[in-house]
Amino acid sequence: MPRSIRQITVLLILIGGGLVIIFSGASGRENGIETRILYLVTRPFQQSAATVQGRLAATWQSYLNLVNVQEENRALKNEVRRLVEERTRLLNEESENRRLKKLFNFKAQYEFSSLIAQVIGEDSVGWYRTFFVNRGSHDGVAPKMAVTAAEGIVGRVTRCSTGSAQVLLISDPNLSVDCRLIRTRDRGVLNGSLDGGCILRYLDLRSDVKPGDEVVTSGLDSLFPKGLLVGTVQVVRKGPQGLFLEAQVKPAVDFSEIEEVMIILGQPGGFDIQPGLEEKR
Amino acid sequence: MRDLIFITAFSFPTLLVQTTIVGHFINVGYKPDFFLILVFWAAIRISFIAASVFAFIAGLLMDLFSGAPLGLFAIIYQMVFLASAYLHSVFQMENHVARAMSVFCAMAGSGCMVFLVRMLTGPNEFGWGIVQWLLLKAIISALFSVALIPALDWLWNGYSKLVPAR
Repeated sequence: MPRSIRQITVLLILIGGGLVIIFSGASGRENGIETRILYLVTRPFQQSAATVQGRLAATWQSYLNLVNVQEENRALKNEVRRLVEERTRLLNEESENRRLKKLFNFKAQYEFSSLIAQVIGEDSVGWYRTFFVNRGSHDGVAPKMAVTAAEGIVGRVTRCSTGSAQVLLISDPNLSVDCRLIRTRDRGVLNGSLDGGCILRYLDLRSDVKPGDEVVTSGLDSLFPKGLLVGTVQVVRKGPQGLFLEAQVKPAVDFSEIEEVMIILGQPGGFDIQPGLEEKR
Repeated sequence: MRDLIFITAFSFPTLLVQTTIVGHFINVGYKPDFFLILVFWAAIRISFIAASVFAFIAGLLMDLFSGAPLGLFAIIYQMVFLASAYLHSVFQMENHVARAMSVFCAMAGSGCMVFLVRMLTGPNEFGWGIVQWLLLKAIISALFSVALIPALDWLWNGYSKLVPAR
């Protein structure tokens, strides 16, 4: 048989085979035995090939990603740092806003003029309890003016320059404040104690003072207005000579945490006693 | 004069550190007295007049920036200066332990004087708590002096090379 005829014959057989397969497939023999055997044989190879291809693709993708990941990482780190700084700043501002709002609300309750000051320094030696605020004589501050916070009284101004003032805290023994117990109405003199906290001295022996009683300013020392919270009685005991009672008082203000204070601009001759001020609290 | 310039240059930074930064790391009541360490160093290293003037100025600064009556620390630092200068002239305090002990004693002594004045001026009660406070503060100052005095010596040597004595 000539070579060309043989080739044409093979071609026709193959085409015919293809047609047979097409027409036999159209008659619903997709799941025939030969198909299943073929699939069964080819499946593991296909799967292996697909797995290898997948891995190769993943490796290639990883490589492509790694090319940019360092730059991206640096950018993300910068972003995180910026966000952390932003968050810290916002938290600080929020905290400051809350404190100032408290002070403004407190200020609005009273008629006397006052100004808000920021704490900028502390006692240089530590033997005394003082701190410095960023308001001075240019702002109208003068020695002996009362200093308070929203929680209670803080102390009084002792020294003053044009732009700053020194405040002596009520927890220092050098400061005395005339006080009254809200519940029993007993009067006493409050001094700081070297061991920390304050001591309310010269309470009447018959006084019914108990731990938990609140102490407020009496207004009789012409230094602090009447009715400002001082602290809470913790322990009650007899004084050294047994003539008076004395009470250990925990100040309402935490002096180690304080950041802003309110300076009450003094009035010559002291403050007017305002009846009912204590009831407003 | 060069001694006084050197030691006075430390006054302002020391004051700033003493009234602001230190309180963040150590409880305000227990913070070390850097000025006392400076006075002690001045007493054993620089001229008598310069150290004496510095002790007085440093004391006044401390009076102004604490609740102490004006002049109290000026006197205390003068006494610390005199005692330190005398002890150094007799014992040549050149090792760390001797210098730390001296600062400890100076700090404890100055604390005693402060409490003595407080006792005379107000209704104060003294007890074991006060003694503990005083001792702990003195120990902290002495420990700081172990690092600070060699640093000051090093700076002083550098300064002396730059500005030699006539």
